[in-house]
Amino acid sequence: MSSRPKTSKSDPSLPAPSRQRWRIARRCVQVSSIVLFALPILLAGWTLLGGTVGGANPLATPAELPFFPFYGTLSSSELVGINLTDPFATLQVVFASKTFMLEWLWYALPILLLYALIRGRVFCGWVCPVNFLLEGVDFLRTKLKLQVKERVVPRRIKIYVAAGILLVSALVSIPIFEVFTPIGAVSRGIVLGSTTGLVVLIAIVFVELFWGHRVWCRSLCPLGGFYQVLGRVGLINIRMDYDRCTHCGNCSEKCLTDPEILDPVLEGVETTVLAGDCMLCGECIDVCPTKALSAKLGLEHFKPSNAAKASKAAKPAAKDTTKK
Amino acid sequence: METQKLAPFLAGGVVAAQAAIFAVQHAMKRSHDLLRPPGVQDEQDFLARCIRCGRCIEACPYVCLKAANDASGMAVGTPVLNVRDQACKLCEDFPCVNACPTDALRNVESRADVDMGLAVIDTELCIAMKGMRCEVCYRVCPLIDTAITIDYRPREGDSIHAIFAPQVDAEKCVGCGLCVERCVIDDPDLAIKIVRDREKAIEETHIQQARV
Repeated sequence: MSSRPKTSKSDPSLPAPSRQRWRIARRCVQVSSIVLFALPILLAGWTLLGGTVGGANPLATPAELPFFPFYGTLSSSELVGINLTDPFATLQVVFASKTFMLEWLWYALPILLLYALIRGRVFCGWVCPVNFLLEGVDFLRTKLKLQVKERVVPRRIKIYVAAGILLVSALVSIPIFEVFTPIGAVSRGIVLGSTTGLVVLIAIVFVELFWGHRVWCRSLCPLGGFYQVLGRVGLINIRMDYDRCTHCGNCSEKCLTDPEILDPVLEGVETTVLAGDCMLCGECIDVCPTKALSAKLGLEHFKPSNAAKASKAAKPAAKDTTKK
Repeated sequence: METQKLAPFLAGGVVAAQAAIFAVQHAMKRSHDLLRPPGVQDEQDFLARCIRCGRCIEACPYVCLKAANDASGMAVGTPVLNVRDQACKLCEDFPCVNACPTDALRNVESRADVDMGLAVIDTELCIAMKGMRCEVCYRVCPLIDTAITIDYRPREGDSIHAIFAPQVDAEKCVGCGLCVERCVIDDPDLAIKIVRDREKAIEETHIQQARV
């Protein structure tokens, strides 16, 4: 990558970069997904952070608001009578309880299908409050002029962490990630005042400030690992028009996942970012000065990739470029 | 830079320490004494299924359920009751049980199916045992004359006065805790409490009754 010429100025004849359209859209979704879960509590007249006090007479509950058919947390919620449960939490329950009930599958399926259809880790980029928080930490770190390392832990580790979580859940008979989840620390903390995963969350922020860039999200989070596997399918993909690319490196600098997932398209080996890790944050699209990058609907994952075609036709050298 | 080298060990250490403390508390079965909402089968079954989503908490119209804090170890985030603050009112339709997406709370059709524990009266502290007419626990009991009855008996060494002693029926009491919420005695301790383990509760009741 370093051998590439770095062009800081784009061709004036080309259209201007699309500024921050993706980022603004993403911020809206990130904020809404916090507000959405907090709203039923407020609408019922309850207090956030678990401060509600009950009395001798029944109160209106967030669960049964006549005009707002939604309540819950990121782990499980109900929308117009339909149960929605985090599929990874469901898997942990199956392993921990060693039982399976068909209704659990029905509750997890809508969420699973939603992310499978878009792109697994779209949860991370658009919904997860921890990623949102860490984007704030990024900003803070830049302000404080703190330097941290990149890629201290390989990003595939999180798939093994996810598998490990299921194994430990079975061993101790507890859905173990739900005890330590930093996502719950934010999501359940705001809604219920639950301190689940608070220590882990503090540790993550500390590591983010003083050690490595996005160690948790990129490499350790089991939920991210689960969605990374799911991300191997997905209908929305980042596509690159190689002829327009000026190799300015802006996209690699901004990539929230790991810049290496962009390497195959930057090297012209692929036309689509195929890595299951891509969280479709759109930062790369926003910063591209020549609009070479775009999000496209399509079944790219099921078509033979260019790299596969190339390796079939010639030597299998092209594939190696995806690894560092 | 020193902080950069130490940061991962510090963060990892803190998380590992918490995990270790939780594991020890779990091994000591610390959460087995926590009071749970209706529909909990046993603590092990409950912990295997509860994903700590908090939907039961959001469904309780009396806000008697709270998320357990870090001191509860592995049970952090699971629903617990402090019946002295707010007891379970045994709603007709059990919204908490219906809200549970993983059947950690289940098999509750009527009040008789609830088993949250058993009320145990401290005969040393209960003022009714001393001859005063209190009967608060008896009157607030949602299963009045079933779970708590009044045992009328003459006061020992007193030819005119009687004792109106509350009695808990171990078969009928479901452990909602309303008696605890309303008990008038709290110094040096409450005169009634809910013991989750029924066998332990029956044992304690026998010890108490032997004193009388």
